[in-house]
Amino acid sequence: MDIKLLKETLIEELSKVPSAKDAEELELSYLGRNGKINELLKGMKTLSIEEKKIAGKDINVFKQFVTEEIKKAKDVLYSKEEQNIEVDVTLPPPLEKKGSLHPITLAVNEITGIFNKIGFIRMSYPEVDWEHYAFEVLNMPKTHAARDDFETTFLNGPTDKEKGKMVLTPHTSNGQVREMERLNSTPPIRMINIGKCYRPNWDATHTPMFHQFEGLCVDKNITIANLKGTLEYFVKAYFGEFAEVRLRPHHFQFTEPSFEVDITCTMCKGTALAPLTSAIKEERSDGKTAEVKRAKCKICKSGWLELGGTGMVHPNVLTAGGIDPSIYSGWAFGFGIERVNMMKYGIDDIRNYYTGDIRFLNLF
Amino acid sequence: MNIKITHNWLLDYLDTDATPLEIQKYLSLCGPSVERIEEVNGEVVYDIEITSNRIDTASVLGIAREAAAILPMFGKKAVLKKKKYNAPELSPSNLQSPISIIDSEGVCRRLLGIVMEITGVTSTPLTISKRLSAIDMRSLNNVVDVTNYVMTEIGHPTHVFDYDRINTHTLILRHAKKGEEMITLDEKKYHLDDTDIIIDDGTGRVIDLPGIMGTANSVVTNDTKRILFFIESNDPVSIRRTSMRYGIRTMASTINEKNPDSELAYTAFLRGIQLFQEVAGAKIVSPLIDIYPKKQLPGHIITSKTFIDSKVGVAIELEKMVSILQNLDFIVEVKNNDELHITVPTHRVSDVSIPEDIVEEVARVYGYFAIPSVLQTPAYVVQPKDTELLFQYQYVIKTFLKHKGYSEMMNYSAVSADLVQQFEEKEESYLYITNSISEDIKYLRQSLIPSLVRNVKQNEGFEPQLKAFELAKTYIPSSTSLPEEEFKLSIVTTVSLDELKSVIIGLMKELNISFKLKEKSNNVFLLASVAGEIVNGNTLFGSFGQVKPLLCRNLGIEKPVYVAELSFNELMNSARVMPDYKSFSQYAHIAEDITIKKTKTYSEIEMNIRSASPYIQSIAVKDQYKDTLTLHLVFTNTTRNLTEAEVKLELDAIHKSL
Repeated sequence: MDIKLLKETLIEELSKVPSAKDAEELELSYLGRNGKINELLKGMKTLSIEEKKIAGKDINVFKQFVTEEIKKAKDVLYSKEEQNIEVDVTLPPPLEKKGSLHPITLAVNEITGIFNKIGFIRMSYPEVDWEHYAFEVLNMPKTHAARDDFETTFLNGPTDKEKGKMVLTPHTSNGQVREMERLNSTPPIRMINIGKCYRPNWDATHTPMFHQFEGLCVDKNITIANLKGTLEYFVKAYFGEFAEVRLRPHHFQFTEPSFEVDITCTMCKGTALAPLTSAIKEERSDGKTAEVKRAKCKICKSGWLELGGTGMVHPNVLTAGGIDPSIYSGWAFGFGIERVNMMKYGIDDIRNYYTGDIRFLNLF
Repeated sequence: MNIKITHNWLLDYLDTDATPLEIQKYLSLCGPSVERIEEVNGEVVYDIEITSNRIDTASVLGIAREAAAILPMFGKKAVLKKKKYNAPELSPSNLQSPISIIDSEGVCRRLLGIVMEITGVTSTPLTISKRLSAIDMRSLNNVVDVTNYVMTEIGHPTHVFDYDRINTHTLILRHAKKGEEMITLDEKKYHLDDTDIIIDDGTGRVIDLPGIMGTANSVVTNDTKRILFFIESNDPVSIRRTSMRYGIRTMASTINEKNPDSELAYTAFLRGIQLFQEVAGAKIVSPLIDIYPKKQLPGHIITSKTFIDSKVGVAIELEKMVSILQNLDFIVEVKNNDELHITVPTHRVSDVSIPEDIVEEVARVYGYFAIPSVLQTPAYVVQPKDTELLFQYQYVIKTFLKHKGYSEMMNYSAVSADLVQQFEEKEESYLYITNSISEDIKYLRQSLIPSLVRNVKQNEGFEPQLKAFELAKTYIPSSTSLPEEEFKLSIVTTVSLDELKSVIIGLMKELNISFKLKEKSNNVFLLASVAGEIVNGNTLFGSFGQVKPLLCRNLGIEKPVYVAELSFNELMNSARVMPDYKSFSQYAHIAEDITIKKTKTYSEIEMNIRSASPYIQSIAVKDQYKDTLTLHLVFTNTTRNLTEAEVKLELDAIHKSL
């Protein structure tokens, strides 16, 4: 065979090859086991040694030429073909159904993690408890008007001679003295207790079952400054760096002093103003509009949002837990999880939480 | 409770340059929370939250006193205008109207009464009626309005009788007889209990429910000529009990149950007499009766600057502490430049009794905002292992199920009688709420299955292929103690039994728990022929299967519903972070299919095969046709290659075992 002729044929063939796949075949017909190059090599058998040397060299040069030309042609064809692929990558593929965790679970995980970092262990205490733990040890004797704030949900279970009637806990604070007892009345105590609570309120902003997270810290030299420090740590970790804490006087039987905690409004970031879009515009004489007055923030009105109740553990509560209030002091708080979810994520209709409506749960 | 007062009224008792907005801001930071300021008919009205310990602030006078202590801390001028109401001058010749008050049981702490002749029951002067209507109190007439006006201004409830309707001119305080009748001034009839305290007019008639509400037979009418102005300082516990029992929640009962100062009763009495003289031309026609067996005395507390500083966490100057306390009417004596000997005014005695109460007084007026924020020194507290695992595996299980496409439900811990009955259960076996707010949530759950099946029904229209779960406590009653609060994990789906089984098996593998599926279950909610258990040896993890169609139909569900209910504790106790490690076989795997007659359950067949051959690597179902089953078996030996002949021997052994 004549290399020159073959070369022309190849150039001719390459100019006509329609697809990369055809180019692959063409490659095989030259470079494959039974390809034209091998055939050329076979044809050398009859030649003399001198002739073989020359022919071999020519064949090698030709082989290199073939390899390069075919590769060039293939590259062009492949890239042309790749350019022709048309896919809408935004088209949704067949999807697996997405499951969801309840928004309470999501918040519980987040809150637990935040307190874990400063050494607070999460505990779990009964939801059905004796009046003793829900009230008496919290400095609320039977006749006390403060019990009105926790209209009690009684159960038909047996009454304990010492510990009174069986109730559904109206707050997670029943864990306070239980934790003191668990630790044999020996501080330090660093507890976070998260649980279901029950109060007979059922309206747009209350459900008869809700969740609280309770913090309890008892040690030597625990101060109001420590309580503020912890609250500040929590709200910055949970709500964001913008969040500031404010304590206002309040009253709870089981803390002294007692406080209501406010944090910077999560909506207006403390400005007490509505978002710019709802600003009231006024036509100016030069025809331009100017912002003259912004409406008040719909959520807070004052730049602050109420988070919940807190205070320094009342000496009577420490005593009830067998801890000497002249040596130890502590702080405690109890906040609603539904409330912090509302404040952080704007989930404002808490009635949806416990109705099992899949349309609500699928949002998470 | 909340009270309303007007700004102008406050200025009667307070000399200040602070604006209403400043008063709202500063009072809320250091004292009573002023929730709102509103304008009513040109009057600026404060709406103030009064905490149950601070009933002394539930008045114009009380707020003025707080303001006088707080506003100067913010550089505002604020001075309390101390008003002295003098005892009336009585001229014996005019005191012709007999009156006697008898409290032989000692049910009241103080009783004050005086009879006055009035010029008539008329409308109230505008100065008074305007203030009352601004704070949402209906103006009735000059006589009744005075009682409300005094209560709002001074903070102690008062009452007025038509003197001539008190038959024997005698008031006898006594416990009611059981079943005794009474008609309140709003014309409602009540049958009394023998723990209630009433006033008898000497004829056996009930003419008042003291401290709570007057009765129709003794109240002032348009024809009243003579009035008995009457204040009693009651036992707060008794007031609360009676007022709660009948649901009579008046402003008077709300204040009286919070232990108002009996010294204040006298101030209110003198102020009231003065006002009756002004607006009803009242002339005193009886002696002033004041029965006060046990005078309220000031309290005494000894504490120190050191103690206060140690609780607050910052050093406050001694002089500042003293001036804060003095501005709040405490008398302070400093000793050794540290000790504080404090006399507590009578109006604060019920709230301030221990050094911690003094800490609160000093710290709040000093300003909580001025206290630094300092995290406490860290301490290591060991979390019990089982508690740690409880939360760890709740997280693992919930997350796994979520990724498998399941939605987490949280239902109420209690269900309705209807649901209990629809599941053919007996209400008596449940712990229940005796004073439930709603019949929908009464019986404490012992299984999560009924709630989840209900969720299926509720979501039928939105999600016919429901996949959901709940991990929650159930409450198993005990005859002697608290119920056992047992966490259960329940999974529900309407997709198929295979879907349910596959998620259960996936979960068990995720938790690295060895288990078998066993035929039959004790779970009464499951259809006997489509029910099984998840077990390992003697450990029962739970049951699964199809809910009895009868129960579904009771809820109006036609399609099959599949559920599993597992004991969370058993899962937690058996779960492992890592599976038991066994190295994989490097040698050849030989696969063989066998077809057998299905005479037992698959679980049993699998167990037989595994015990018949030690070289079984895996077993899978390849095909099922009528009563035959084709299994795909894989054999391997971890130490050398198996020969075809050896595998044949294994197959023989397997056939034999079946």
